[in-house]
Amino acid sequence: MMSTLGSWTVGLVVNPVAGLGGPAGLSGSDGEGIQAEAIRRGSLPRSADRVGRMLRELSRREVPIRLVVPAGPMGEDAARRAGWIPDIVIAAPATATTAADTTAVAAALLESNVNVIVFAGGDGTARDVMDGIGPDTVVLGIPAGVKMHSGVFARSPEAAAGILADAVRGSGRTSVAEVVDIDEDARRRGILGSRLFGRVNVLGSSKQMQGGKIGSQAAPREVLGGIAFEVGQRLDPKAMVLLGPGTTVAAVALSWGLKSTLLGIDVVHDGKVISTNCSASELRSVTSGYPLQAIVSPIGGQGFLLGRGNQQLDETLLTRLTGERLIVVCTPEKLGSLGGGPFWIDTPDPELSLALAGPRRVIIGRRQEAVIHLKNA
Amino acid sequence: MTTIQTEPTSATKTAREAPLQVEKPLLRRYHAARWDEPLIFQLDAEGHRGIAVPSSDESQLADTPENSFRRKDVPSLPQIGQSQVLRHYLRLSQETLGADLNVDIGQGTCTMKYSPKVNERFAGSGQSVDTHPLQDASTMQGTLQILHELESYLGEVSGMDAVSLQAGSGSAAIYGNVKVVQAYHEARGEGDVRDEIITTIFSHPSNAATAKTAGYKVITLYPDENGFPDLEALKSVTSERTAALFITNPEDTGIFNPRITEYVDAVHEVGGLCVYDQANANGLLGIARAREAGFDLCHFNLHKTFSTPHACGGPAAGAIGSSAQLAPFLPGRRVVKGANGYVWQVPDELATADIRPFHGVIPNLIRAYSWIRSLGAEGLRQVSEIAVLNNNYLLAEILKIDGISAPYAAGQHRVEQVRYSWSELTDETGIGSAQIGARMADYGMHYWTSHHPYIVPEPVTLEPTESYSKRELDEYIAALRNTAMEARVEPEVLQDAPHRSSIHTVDVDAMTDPDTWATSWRAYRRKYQGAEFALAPRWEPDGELPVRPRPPKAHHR
Repeated sequence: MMSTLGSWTVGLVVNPVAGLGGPAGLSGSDGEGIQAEAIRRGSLPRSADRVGRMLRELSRREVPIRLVVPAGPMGEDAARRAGWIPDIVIAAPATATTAADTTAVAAALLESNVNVIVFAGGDGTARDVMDGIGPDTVVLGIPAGVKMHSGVFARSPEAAAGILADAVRGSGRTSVAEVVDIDEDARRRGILGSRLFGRVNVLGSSKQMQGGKIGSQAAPREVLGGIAFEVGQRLDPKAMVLLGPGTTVAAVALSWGLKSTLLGIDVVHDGKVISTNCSASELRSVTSGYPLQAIVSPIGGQGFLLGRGNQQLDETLLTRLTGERLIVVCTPEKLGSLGGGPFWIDTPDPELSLALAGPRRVIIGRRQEAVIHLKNA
Repeated sequence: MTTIQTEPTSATKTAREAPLQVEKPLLRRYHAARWDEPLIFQLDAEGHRGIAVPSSDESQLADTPENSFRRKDVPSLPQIGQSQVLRHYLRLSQETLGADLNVDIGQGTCTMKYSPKVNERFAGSGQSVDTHPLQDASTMQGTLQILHELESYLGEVSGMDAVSLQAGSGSAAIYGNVKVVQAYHEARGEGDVRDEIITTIFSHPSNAATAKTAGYKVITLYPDENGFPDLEALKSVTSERTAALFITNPEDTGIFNPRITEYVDAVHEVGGLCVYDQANANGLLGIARAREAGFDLCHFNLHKTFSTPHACGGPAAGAIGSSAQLAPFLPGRRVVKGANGYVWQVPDELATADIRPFHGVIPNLIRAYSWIRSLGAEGLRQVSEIAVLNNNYLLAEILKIDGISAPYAAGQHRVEQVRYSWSELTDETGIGSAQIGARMADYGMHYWTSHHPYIVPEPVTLEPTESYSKRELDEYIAALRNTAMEARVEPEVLQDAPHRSSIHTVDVDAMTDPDTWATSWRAYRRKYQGAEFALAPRWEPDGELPVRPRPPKAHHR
């Protein structure tokens, strides 16, 4: 892993289908069937764009790196679109890629003596990369999946560029992070939890990462009941109410006697769940003509409020959710583990991000609020 | 690739960092007493007794007033001799890490300073402990003079115009402040509208707790990147609904907020009151005053800053300071000097209800008075200067230990305490602050993390006060440094710590679930031995009074 200052070799792995399931409300993008369904529901791949954002930031900062990429959609295409001419191109599949391809490409990159493997994807991609690398390999994730519970991701593509710049300058650090993914068995039983798949060396200190998702701990009944009570006070009886993903929101719904989707977005109207696990377009059509409210909670350990795990709340919907129409809830323990904020937002439209940013009242219990800054990632 | 290796503290490094030539090493080979002492009820032995009272003719007692108070049944106390009682409690006391035993700087925010022993003589005198609450003022002029002068000293220290000494603890004083705020807004016809109290997450948690108890909605500000409560966030929530801001300065991070008047002004602008929680006042005596920062109310924990002992659930003492405008709302009777000596002043009709029956905790008020008198004005300022100096010495030395940091305000001095973070050490070794704390008990040191929820990750809060010598601070630092080294080279020792304490770690559920508690022998027998006792009846309110729904009793007493 040693290299002299200023000659860093970065291996790039792009999962071209990462994040497809997000706007489509599929809570993940694993499996070809899901990917086809996501594209049918109108999703566009975004991992290549995210890689582009990182590469453009590296150019802007004039960070000297050598780039090793797999041919085609797994790296080369994204690099060229961002104006980079890769130093080395290795063989890779030219069309639809699978988990095994990601693993094989990660292993192949090691032969080019890369200092770090930067990959764009989500938890599934992190697992696949981990399967192809050695115990000393250092990785860095660009967040491009639906939900990223592993602690291997930089907060944004630009943040990833910053971490690389530090490392090339010689002031970088590495830390050990967990690769986790949704525990599907538990989820079917209604528990939102993560399963640990392994640990990897990550470029950057744990403070620079977006943080591994911290498994939802059962909050005391009175805390969740108090949050549910307060949310109830703020509901507009005429509105369509969107229930965001996560255990906190699900617990709020449950205390109203409603069963909601743990990882999806549901629509509640007049005290009833009228539509579950909706895609962005479904949400738009179901709520059309009604006032809109949404109940959302940040992802524990990461602090992402919008743009991770709830990409169904697209630009059009979020424009209808500014001000008090967006109800933010969080348990005090989760808020504490996030250092009291900020909560991060990552939406496609920078102007919308700006409109949503700033200090905001967050419901943390009965007659209890916190004031937390919403910031753009 | 530069991987920053944090090397285990090597022998040479330790040698370089501990140049002090002393006969005994700073790191003690401590072991707590471990007695496995039974409960005193389990020491019960038929026929044993402490004093053999001479028998007397019972008929002689028949006409005495005492006869009407005589109990008809035998008290269910253990039968045990005097010396057995003495040994029992001495052994229990040996199994604690009390303030007179250990370098008690590990309980940050608690201000564990020395409580001078001579003050016990004053506090224990007949004029103190034998005072009856209904006693005529003319028969307790000395006590009243002490209370009157103590009010004026605390007024001088805080800059406030009036002081109430009625509260039996710091939190009771804060509750009194909340009730004063409530009474003030009610008197102005705004009681219903002003239903929000703003506080900060690093302020004394009693602010949020008492505000909520009094029925307020609590809005908590979180720190900005510099560790100060977010001013922009404050301004985004102040409104005609704001009743008051309750804030500590320095907060529990030990960082003094130099822009505090801007916070005060923002709240005054919307008609709210500002209350200075002075639980962290040990670095401020004679240096900064609440009133001059624009606050309307403040309180002191006399058992922190003014040396009266911490009471652990027994009576402590709190003092409330107020501006002249709010003085009529203060609870309890205050002492005034009249033509014929000191008298109790009847509270104003605007005054909020008494916080406790009768007066404040007079023995503790005497201790605080004695402490202030023994130091004088210059001495009080010196207390704060030494407390701040000790804290910054500790900060400088502790930051030399690999793996610990002092989040926020990098490179700045702190006031009287610091909340540190072990997150780097935890990242590296997997050992967290709680395990380090358990290991510190093996070195005979108390150690406290933080209030919940943790905002600073893997926290530890240290407050050295003015009472400890440099050698004692160095002993604490040596124990911390050694523990951090152990986390790297033999983490399993910390995973199972403590090893040399009087007991091992306590089951958390046993501490937090009232259903498992038995805080009396009777409750223990009922819950764990199946004994049956008649339950004490619950108080039933008169027909007219509203009945609040309550959870079923856990009956742990």
